[in-house]
Parts: sequence; C-alpha cells; structure tokens
Amino acid sequence: MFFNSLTFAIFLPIVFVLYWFVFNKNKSTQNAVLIIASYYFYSCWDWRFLFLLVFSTFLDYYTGIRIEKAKTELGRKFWFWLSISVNLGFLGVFKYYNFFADSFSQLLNGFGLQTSPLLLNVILPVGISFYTFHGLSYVIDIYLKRIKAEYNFVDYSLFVSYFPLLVAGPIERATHLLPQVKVKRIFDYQKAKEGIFQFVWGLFKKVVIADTCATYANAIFDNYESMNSLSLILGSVYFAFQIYGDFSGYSDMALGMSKLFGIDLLRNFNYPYFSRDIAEFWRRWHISLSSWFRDYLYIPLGGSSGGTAMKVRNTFIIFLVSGFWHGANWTFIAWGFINALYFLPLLLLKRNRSNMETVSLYWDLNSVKVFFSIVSTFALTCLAWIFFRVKSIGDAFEYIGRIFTNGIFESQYLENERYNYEIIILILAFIIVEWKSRTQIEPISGKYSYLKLTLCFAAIVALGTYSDYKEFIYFQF
Amino acid sequence: MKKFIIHTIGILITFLIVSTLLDFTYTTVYENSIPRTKFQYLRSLKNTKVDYIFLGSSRVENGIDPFIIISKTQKKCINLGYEAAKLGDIYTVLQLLKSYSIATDTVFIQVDYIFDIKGKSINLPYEMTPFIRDNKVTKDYLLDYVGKDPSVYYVPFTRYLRSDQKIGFREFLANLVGSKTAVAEQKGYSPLAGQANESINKNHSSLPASIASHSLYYEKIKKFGAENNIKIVFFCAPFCRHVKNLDYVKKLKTKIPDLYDFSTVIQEDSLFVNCFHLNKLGATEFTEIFAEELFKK
Repeated sequence: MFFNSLTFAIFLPIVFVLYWFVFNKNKSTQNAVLIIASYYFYSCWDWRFLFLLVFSTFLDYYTGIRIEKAKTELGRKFWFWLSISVNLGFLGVFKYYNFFADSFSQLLNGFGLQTSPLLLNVILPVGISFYTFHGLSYVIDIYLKRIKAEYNFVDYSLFVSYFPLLVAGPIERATHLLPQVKVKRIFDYQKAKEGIFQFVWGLFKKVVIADTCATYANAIFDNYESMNSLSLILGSVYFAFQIYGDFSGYSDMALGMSKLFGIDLLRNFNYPYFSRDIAEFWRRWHISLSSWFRDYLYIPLGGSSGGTAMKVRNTFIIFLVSGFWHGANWTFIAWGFINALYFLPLLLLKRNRSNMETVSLYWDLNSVKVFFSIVSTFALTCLAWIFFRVKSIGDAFEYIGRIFTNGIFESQYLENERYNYEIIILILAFIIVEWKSRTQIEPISGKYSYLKLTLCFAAIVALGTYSDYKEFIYFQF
Repeated sequence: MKKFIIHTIGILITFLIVSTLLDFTYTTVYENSIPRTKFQYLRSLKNTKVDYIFLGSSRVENGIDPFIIISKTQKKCINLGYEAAKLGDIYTVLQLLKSYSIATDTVFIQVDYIFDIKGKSINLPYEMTPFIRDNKVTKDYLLDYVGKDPSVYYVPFTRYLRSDQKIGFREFLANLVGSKTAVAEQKGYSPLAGQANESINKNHSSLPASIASHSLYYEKIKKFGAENNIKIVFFCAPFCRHVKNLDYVKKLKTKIPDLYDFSTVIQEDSLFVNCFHLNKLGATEFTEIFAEELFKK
C-alpha cells in the first residue's frame, strides 16, 4: 500500500475518522486505533513480516525495561548487548548475509579456490532498516540513561510501528516521538491544514518530479554504453532529482499525514541541493539518518575531538556505514567512500560548519561565489549519485569515463521515445519553486495558498507519471 | 474540526474541478488538432467516401502502400493497419467506419495467425482513448480494454492518467502546437527502413502448427460486411521463405475459402526487415503484385 495509491486514499480517511470521531476519548484509544492501522498497513506489504516487526518491537520493549531494572552493570550490559545483537542479527540475515557470502566466495575464487556460496532465498522485509534503527536508538538511550524505559507496550509499539514512518522513516527518536504518544492529541486545525499542504507537495515531488525523472534516468543509465556525454551528464542530474523527489516526497507525505493525527515527525530534508558544501548537504539530506549516525556512531567513536588520524578514521567509518546501510552492494559503500572524501578536507580545515545560515543570493560578487559553491556541490553530489544508481562499481567508472571521452554534447533520442533534454524546463521550474520557499516547510502555505494548491493539483494530474509507475526507492532499504 | 472538514471538502472540489477542466481541455485539443495518430486520421475522414480501405496488423501498416493502389486505380485508398491488431480490433475499426459515416466499397483485410489469437492492438486503445465519448463503439472497446473499469469513462481525466506516457502532457502539447506526423501524408502507411541481416536464415519464426476451428470475429466481420453492403476481401501478406509451418496458410484457406494467398510471393530476403515484415522496397513490390492480382480487370 503506497502513499500515492488508491487503496491508501481510502485507508487514510477511514483511520482519520476512527481516530478523531470514534476512538477519541483518550490517548489509549487513539493509540490503539493507530497501532491497529499501522499493523494492517504493514501486513498489506507482506503479512508474514508482521511477526518480525512485533518480535523486534517486543524485544526492544522488554530489553529496555530489563536494562533499566538491572541491578548490576553486568546485567545492564547483558540486556543491552542482547538487544543490539538480535537487532543487528536480523539486519544481517535479511539484508547483508547474501552480500557477505557472495563477496567472501568471490574473494576465495580470486585465490583460486572455487566455491559456490550458500545464499538465502529471502526477500527483504519492508522498512527493516528503519524500524530496527528506531529500536536501537531507544535501547541505546536507555542504556546511556538519557531516557526512561517505556512500560506501556501499546505506546512503545506505536513509537516503532507508526504507519507514516514505518516503511521509510523518518527515523524517529524516543525523546521526540514518545512524549507525543503519551498524551491525548487534541485536533489542531492549523496543523492539519499544514499537513494536507505538505502531503500534497510530497505527492507532487513523487509523481511529477521523481517518477518523470526516473523515466529519463532509467533510459540513460540502463543504456549508458550508447549514450553521449550530454545524455550521461543529464542522466546523473535526472537521477539526483529522482531520488530527491522520491525520498523527500515520501518524507513530506509522511510528515504531512502525521500532522493530521496531531503528531509531529522529525524533518528529514531541508532543501539539500542548495547546499554550499558537502558538510551542509549532509545536514540537509536524510537528516534523521545523518543525525542518528552522528549521535550513535560518530560521537561515541570520538567524533572530531581527537587527533587528525582519529578524525579521518571516524569520518570514513560513518560514511562507509551510512553507505552500507543503504544496501548490500559495493556501489553503496563506494558512494559512502566518495562522500567521505568530499567531507574530509572540510573537516580537516575546520570549515565543515562554515555554512550554517540560510543561503541567500543578491546582485553582488559574494553571491556569485555562493552560486558557484551551490553548483559545484550539486555537481559533486551528482557524481556520487552515479555510484548509487549503477549496478556495479565498474559500470560507474565506465559511465564517468564516457562523460569525459565521448565528447558529444547533442540531443539524443532515448529508449523511452523522448529526447534527453525534454524535462530540463520542468526541473528548472522545480528549482525556482524550491528556492523561493527554502525558508518554509513547503511552498503551498502562505499567501495565495489555494491558488498554489490548485496549480499543484493541476501539475499532479497533468504532469504526473502514472502508467510507468515507480516504487519509492527507499522502500528497498 | 468543522472548519477542517469544510477545508477538506473544498480541496476535493478543487481537485475535481481541476481534473474536469483538464479533461475538457485535453479532449478539445485532441478533437480539433491536425491528425497525429492513425485514429485521429480516421476521425478526420468523417462523412467522406474512401474507395479502398486496408485493415490488419503491422503487416498491413508496413506492407501496403496506398499510393500505388491510387495510381493503379485512380481511386481513394487508405491504410488503417494497426500494430499487433487482432481480428477484434479490425472489427472495431469496421464499426467505426460506420459510426463516423465513412463510406467505402471494399475493405481489404489481412489475416494470418491473428485468426487464432485474442487480445488487442498496442496502439489502437490509447489512440482511441481521448475519444471514448465519441460513440458506443469507442466506449465499449475501451471499457473492455480496461477490464470494465468504469472510472475511465466517468471519472474526469482518469483515462489520460492511465495512458500518460502515450497521450499525456507531451502528446497534448504536440497536438496543441500542431506538430505534424507522417500519418495523414502517408495515408496511414508506415514503411520500414533497413533490411534483414544474414541471421534470417537461422530464423526460428514459426506460424502455429494448428488452426482454431472458428473465429468469432471473422464471422462478425463477414456479417458486418453483408449487412452494410461492404465488400470484404481477405488476404494473407508475404512471409519470408524461412518461416516454419507455412502450411498454416493452407489451413487458413480452409476456414476462409476466398482468401487471397500472397504468403510466398516475395522470396528475396533482402525485401524483408524480419520474417513477418517487409521493408519499404518489399512493400512496394508486394503492393504492385497485390494490385496486379486484385485490380487486373
């Protein structure tokens, strides 16, 4: 059940009505409605994995309590590591086992030892990386005595399984979401209205920007051997907007619909393509994951407080793990590695926090510099996205090599029966709208909101891609 | 909450109005633009007479040059072949000729293994989509195509969403600015460039080993011709000599006794693009042979 499907368009109003009109007496009934809806939502993907979700939830709920109640440090450690091991074990089995088995086999084959790895024929449970990280942050926070354990199982389950964030985040923190589900939600018209605007804008990003760009990006990436330099450059730009529209669109829909239930979720994107350096990009892209790794991996490793060697080590660890989190493929690790290479000079020169304020452009010389910083950061990001999109690292090098060696910058007719340049105007229009609204959550609110909403609907209906439907990219992670 | 419900209803009404306006705009543009698709070309012939009309699959679309027929007979001729058209599609086009008051004396229909297969053409459904409200024929055909889903007929703009890659914004714009295609100029004929390569010798293309006992649409077509005083002539276009089970055409002749069999009249591999489709030179040669045979009197 995708957010942009007809079934979800029926599901959401039903849950809304039950939540606000039928079971609105207290927070327990409200939470019960949401948890039943969430489990139903998840079982629509594959009901068998519902057991995994419930088990994972119960494990963290139980170990959280045991950690808090443990009388000895050894007991605390035992329950803590039990939770960590089982959580990571699930991820390892479902997401990474085949990758490690296959890579190990290839390594042995490289030494002349012919092996055929024992691979598991399992499908990846939707959202496992997201809800596992929810549970991990909760258990770690209890272990570090940052929060108290939650004793109400329904409330805790809702924190892990709340359907707007269940399958692709944002990755919530107990400190942020749990206090909201512990109290009865009162309907807030303004918040609900904002929620609808944000949901519609997310839908626009998904069906108009992401899915349209996907048609072109796929035609280019899948046939890159026959593409000219211009098509290859455009292909990487289209993919950059595809993944941004897809994931930030999903996040906007999640945040928007959550506001309808009176619950605020963590912001996941903050106009990342207007970043002036890579450090800023990572403060604006998939914020809930970046901050998760910062708080639960980078800082515990020492962060940037140690010597140069430690800074370099920690930077590589966090980016490589972040890449690996996305998927069990060397291409994601390479993508993380490249981003580490981009980030490192900024860190070593202590310029990683030099662009903290909102970006602005005026008619002056400094703005020219800012403009080129944005363009060059975007270009670097696009280069890294190539590794994210291709099937193997070899393909990425060939793709990039061809950009520089082909030398033809002409229009090209693609496999999707369109010319390579056709959606540039759409992307430019999208950039202008985003730029104008970069200080807001979304561009619809504010003055002339109904006119903007109408235009948005018109674009969704007329410009959206429907017959060549694409799943949300981050569902596979 | 009351305020929010009013707000939400307002949003839904806005959405409905936007969809209705877009539906109206798209349909108006498709109805009034110069023909870009074969279906628009067919509609543009409303209330006219065309002496000879060719119907069939891509083996007609790519293989019959109407200009040769015109030069030989001095009569009006068009090619309404559709890629992957089946007998059901052909029957639909026949009905449309009547619905759009396009008079004709003779319709030539290419039949081969399509005698046996069900299904629908690739292009006809989406080319017809903007005109779903034209008449009962278009409505029934499209509703059947979408599995009787009434939303394509009743919910504004839904039909454009379902085929957005083909008749979406891009095609709408092309229609709006009057961007031309060759369809009207070529009278529906779409020749294929190129030539079969040497691997045509190792071709594994095959006609069915057996033939169905009867075809529902064949019977309907015959009946339609008789009822509407249209002469229906069935023929089979050439296959390359490497196709297996060529005796299928003989079996077909037992079902359609008056079938004109041209299945083996072109022997040179160089006149094919692949075993089922002639190239431009092949189409010219075949149309000459066809005209010689059918219009010799």
